[in-house]
Amino acid sequence: MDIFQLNTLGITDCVLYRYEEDNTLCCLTPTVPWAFTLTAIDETTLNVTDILSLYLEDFLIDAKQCWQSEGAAQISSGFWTEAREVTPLRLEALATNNGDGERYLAIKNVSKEFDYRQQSLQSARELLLTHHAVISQQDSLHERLLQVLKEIESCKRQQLAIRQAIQHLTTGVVILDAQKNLFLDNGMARQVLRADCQENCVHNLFRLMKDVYVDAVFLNNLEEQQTTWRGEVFWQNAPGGSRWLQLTVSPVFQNGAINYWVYLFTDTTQTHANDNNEAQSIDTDLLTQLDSRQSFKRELDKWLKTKQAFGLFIIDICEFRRVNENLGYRVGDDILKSVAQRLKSFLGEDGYLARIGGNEFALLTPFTCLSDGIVHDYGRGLQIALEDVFIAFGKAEITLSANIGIAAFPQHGSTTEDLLKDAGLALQFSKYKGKSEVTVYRTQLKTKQAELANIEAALAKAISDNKLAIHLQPIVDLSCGDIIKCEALARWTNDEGKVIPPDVFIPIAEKSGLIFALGDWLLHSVCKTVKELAKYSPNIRVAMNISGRQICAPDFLTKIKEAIAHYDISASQLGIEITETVFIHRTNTVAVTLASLRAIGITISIDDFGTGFSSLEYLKRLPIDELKIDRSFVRDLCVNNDDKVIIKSIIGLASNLGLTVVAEGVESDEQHHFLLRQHCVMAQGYLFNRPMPVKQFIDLLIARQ
Amino acid sequence: MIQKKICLLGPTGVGKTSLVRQFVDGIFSEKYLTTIGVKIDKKQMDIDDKSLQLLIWDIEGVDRYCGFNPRYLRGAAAFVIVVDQTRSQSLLEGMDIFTSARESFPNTPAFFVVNKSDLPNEWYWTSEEVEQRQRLFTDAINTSAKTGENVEQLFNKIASVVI
Repeated sequence: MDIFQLNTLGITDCVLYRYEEDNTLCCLTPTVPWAFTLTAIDETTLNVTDILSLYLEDFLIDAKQCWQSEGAAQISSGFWTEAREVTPLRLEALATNNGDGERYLAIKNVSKEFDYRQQSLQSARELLLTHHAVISQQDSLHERLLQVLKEIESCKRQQLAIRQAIQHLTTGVVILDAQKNLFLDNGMARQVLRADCQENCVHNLFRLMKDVYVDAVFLNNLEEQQTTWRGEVFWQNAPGGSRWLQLTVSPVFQNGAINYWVYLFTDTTQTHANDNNEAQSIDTDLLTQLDSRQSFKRELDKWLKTKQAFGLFIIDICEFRRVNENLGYRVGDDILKSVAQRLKSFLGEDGYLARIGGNEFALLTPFTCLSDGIVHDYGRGLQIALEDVFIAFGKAEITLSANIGIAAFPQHGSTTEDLLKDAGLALQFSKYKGKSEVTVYRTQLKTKQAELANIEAALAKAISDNKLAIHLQPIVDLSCGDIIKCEALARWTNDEGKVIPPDVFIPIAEKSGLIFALGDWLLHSVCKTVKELAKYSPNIRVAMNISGRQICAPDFLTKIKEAIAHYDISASQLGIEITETVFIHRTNTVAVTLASLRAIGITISIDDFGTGFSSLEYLKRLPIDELKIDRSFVRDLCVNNDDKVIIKSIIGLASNLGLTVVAEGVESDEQHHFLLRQHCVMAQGYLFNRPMPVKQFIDLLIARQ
Repeated sequence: MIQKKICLLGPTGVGKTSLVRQFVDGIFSEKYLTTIGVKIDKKQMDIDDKSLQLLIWDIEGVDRYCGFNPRYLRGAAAFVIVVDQTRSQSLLEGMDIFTSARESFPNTPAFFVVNKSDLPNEWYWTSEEVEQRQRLFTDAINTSAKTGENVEQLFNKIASVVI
């Protein structure tokens, strides 16, 4: 059956063009009326004489690349709308090249798909906006209350004014004093808590906190860390019936002592009801035809009732968003279908598979003999099944990786919530470790999660209290041993006097977003140090490490310039060290920033060179001054000929590109002499000096002089 | 006549489509209808005795359901990041989109629009925090697609930069 018959029968509503050798398009379906909205067509030859649609005209740039590519390829334009007098046209264009000279442009009327997508996203986005509005209201109210409550005296004086201000809010407010006695509440709080008087209000608030596990330990943690908690809770045993609440719990301090506890809550049950109705009406994921999240929970309940041992695997496809962004949602959707297919084949008939999120699948499989090792091996098997190349529409080739979190019944939990929570926590740790990780739940993960949270909170406090220190490691001229410059390294000793190594706190800072605050602290500390060092060595340069996230921040350059101006130092006394990984995804942004930094005189070094993706392309294109050879090559160079060859190559490459080289981790005379023979100019390492406090570094400078 | 492509970007629900409707047709609807994909509108303007046609690309809001697609910005004379002053989070989301757009288009003029100025400002950002971000743009303006406040001015500013 050809396209004419399909169109006539209403199976498709599609315009088809053939791309000719002479760069023209020939319309194969001139009888489709709306084709003339998009293109002008010569009635005799059926060749396209003009493109009337602006969107199509733009898409043809990509389409031509697809047609002119040597191999098979296909790309989609995504949905667009063409305005018409009566009803708008909803369209999607596809350019295809089968690799054997057949090249087509298909434009499809996608009104039905468009309407379906719009209806689904309309509800989803309305929910998203409602949720944002609730959070925004609470945040704004929280901010204002904190300001007032911190002024303890005026606060008591203004109790009546505050009461009036909060009385008619749509957010429930309860403020307790340090002894947990009621200071203020409002009408909405009493309504949500079903309280008819002040006493009841406090009583029901404590009942709510107990029911949702916001216990004394939790509150003590908030108090110790002087932080606010915000989240959504399901109050199952609420008076008047279970309900969802968006909750904020915040201690208020004055002069370091706790003054008040602020509780804010909004009833979000209605939002969830809409959410549930939406979800329940779709028990099946329409794309993969697998069960949805709701159905999965019901299935998990059933499995638990059988009392048979089984494993729960949550599979997260890494960075799937990039597939959608780079290749379009059609390709992304096609690949998700293939993922589902592969998982189903791997699983066999005894197991159960559901799609529980955009790029998340959940799988249940029975085990006659169950151990952590067995479920871990099964998880690895799942990963291997997903490792082979995926082919979308017979053309696009993609490789994927997956992180997996595993919980087993009965070892790790006996309820749906526990097992899902445990597998979710295990998945979180897999993601924390990187890509293609499999983690089986163990109770220590909870401890580890709490430890990480504690370190994160302590680090945030240490940064804001300026409790970190800078140590400097000299970088010397290999031929004479003179100190040319130094690298600044952040060091942290916590309140208990324990040294927390950088390889512990820096990854935590990266994951939590504290890297920005840490970066700001480092920048200011380094500039201050440069100012101090200038008294003893006016030309010494101090280099600092900058993370990929920092350098991509839009205000990074401004911050650097402001710090330089603030400390009145020369930009040429600063150096920035970045790793190769920052170039993988954001080469253009980084290139612009680096060029601007270099323009004001800052030196740019590539740290740990040789361990990343070491693309010659970026070395040629990007504004770089220096390569730092990773310590792993230097460490074994006396026993490993490969490392010698690599170091020689890096030095040769740098020389050809006009870059200087610093060898890291030099610890022996033998390494020193080898590097000298290879004309490596600079080095740092324990052979010369360990990192040292600024004062000691100054003493060293004075002694050298 | 000179034609210039202008792209409207931003998080979901900030009022990109409403700004276009107000500017092109002079109408506003309270009902929120989410945009899917792209819709292009045209509007002719006269700037300094020159006739200019703006080709305004109204692009689906960026959120967890729809990522940012830099391809839409190809050939744009300017792009606009629209955020919503009743939703603090929209500023962060808008800046994320701006960063992504700048990766591929470092030199294209970019305008920062804080929409819904007819509603009370619910942002918890300080004016300094907002200004710090605004400085990264070619120009910034507060608008109301509902009352029409500054909508014409926004497109006039854009037109005078791109012409």
